[in-house]
Amino acid sequence: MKKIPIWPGQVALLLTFLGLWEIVSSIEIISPVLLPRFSQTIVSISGVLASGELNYHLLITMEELLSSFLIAAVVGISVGFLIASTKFLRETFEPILLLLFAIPIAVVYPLIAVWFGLGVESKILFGSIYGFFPIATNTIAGVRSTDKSLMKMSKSMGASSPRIFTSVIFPSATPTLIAGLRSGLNLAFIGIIFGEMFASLGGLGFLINSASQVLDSAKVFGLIGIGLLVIVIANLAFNRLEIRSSRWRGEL
Amino acid sequence: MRGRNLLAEPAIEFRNLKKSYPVGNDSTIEAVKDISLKVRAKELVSLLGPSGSGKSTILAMVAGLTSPTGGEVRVNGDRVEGPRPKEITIVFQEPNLLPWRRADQNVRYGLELRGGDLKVMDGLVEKYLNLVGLQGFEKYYPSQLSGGMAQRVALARALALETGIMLLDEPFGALDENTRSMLGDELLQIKSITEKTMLFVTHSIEEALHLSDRVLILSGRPARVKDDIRINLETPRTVELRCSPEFQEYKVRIWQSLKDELNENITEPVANR
Repeated sequence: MKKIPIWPGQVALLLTFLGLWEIVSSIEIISPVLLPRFSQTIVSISGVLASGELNYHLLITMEELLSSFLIAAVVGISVGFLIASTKFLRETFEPILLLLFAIPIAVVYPLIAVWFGLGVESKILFGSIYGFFPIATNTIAGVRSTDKSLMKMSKSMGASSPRIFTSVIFPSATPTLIAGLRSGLNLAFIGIIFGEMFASLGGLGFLINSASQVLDSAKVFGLIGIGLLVIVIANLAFNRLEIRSSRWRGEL
Repeated sequence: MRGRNLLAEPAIEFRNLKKSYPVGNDSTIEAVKDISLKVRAKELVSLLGPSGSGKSTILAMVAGLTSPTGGEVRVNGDRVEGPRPKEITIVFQEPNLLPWRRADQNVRYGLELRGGDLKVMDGLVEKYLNLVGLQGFEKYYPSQLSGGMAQRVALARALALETGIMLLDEPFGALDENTRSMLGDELLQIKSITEKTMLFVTHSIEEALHLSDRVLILSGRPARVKDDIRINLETPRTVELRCSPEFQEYKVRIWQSLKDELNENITEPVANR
């Protein structure tokens, strides 16, 4: 049986949305200050792009995002595997992690800004904290989902504990771990944009904040679009990774 | 050098084997009570008993996956203290294949753990995949295999280690009747080629009689050996033989011995209260 391709429908949906946006805003039911036209947004963002302003700020955001993600991934995966390694550690720390994950971490940002200043450092730290929790909790969940009888089989064939980890536990946990990395990246991005909007000297969030303070809605919308683009591209990369890492699950 | 001793020593020996588990604070459940027996080299012995009678626990102790609380298991004269992948392999009821590895890579798994020459590994993988009739399925993932085929891969994985002893914990228990009987025939063929000692756990009288040189009937919990029956029937045991009066006589005899244990199992928890 031939599979019906998904993307033409998605593209059509996007075009319909943009078209409706253009029509609704051009008859000015809503004030253009609140809802600029789509075409205006494009014009505005091309201006920001041409002047090099976007380049400068986007680069800052990307630097912060990449650093945060790397820190969150390394720390989150290590802490996750450590906590999952024994029942005692897991039962002690897992509830604490989940509790911390549940509180809105935004409340600590003012403190972080005071301690680490308005530069990239405070954003990197804040993004890392945001990204850490889903990565650590998913790593723990991935280890826990490992089939105990596979571990028994491995042991019966003479595998040592480190060997059971590398040949059974780690590959079992990988799909869950990758899902954790994906939400970690998305949350780190949210944290960074928030931090930039709240207190910073540069970055996509800083630019959005400045534009909205002078009621330049077209620019705000355009910048939001750029932010969306960044996160969509990152997620597409994760899609590929997820497909590659779970090919063994058979035809999906 | 070990080969010489093999003939003199029993391949597997239980000496006053006991296993109990703690339940709650100060009570224990006795799973295995004082079993002593010997399995000779190249013998195929079945442990037959009601579900939950501790059959799997006995195998796990031979495999070195759990330690006895009393007595000992000896394999080729040595006390079992942990897994001995050079001498013993175990096949479980579930195939327990690593789902991210293809069939051939799964068969390779035990060999990789052991280490050694890669060319030799490739040779063994091919040899045993062919022996279980899976040529052409080397590149399939477990999710693409039927239950019977997956269990064949598990069998090949255990065979590839070329150990003298193979433990089988209801290996065909999750399969349908026909596949089960077919794999039984194949197991006997494999046994005649590889000359292994096999300890086979099952709760099916038919299966035990189909395969075994000896059937040990276990009592309900705690497990003791209630009966030790040598099956003097020619092998391989064809469908015709399995329909013969001699086969049926064995079946009745075993059923009568086993029947009491099934009853006891039902009344026991009530009597305990």
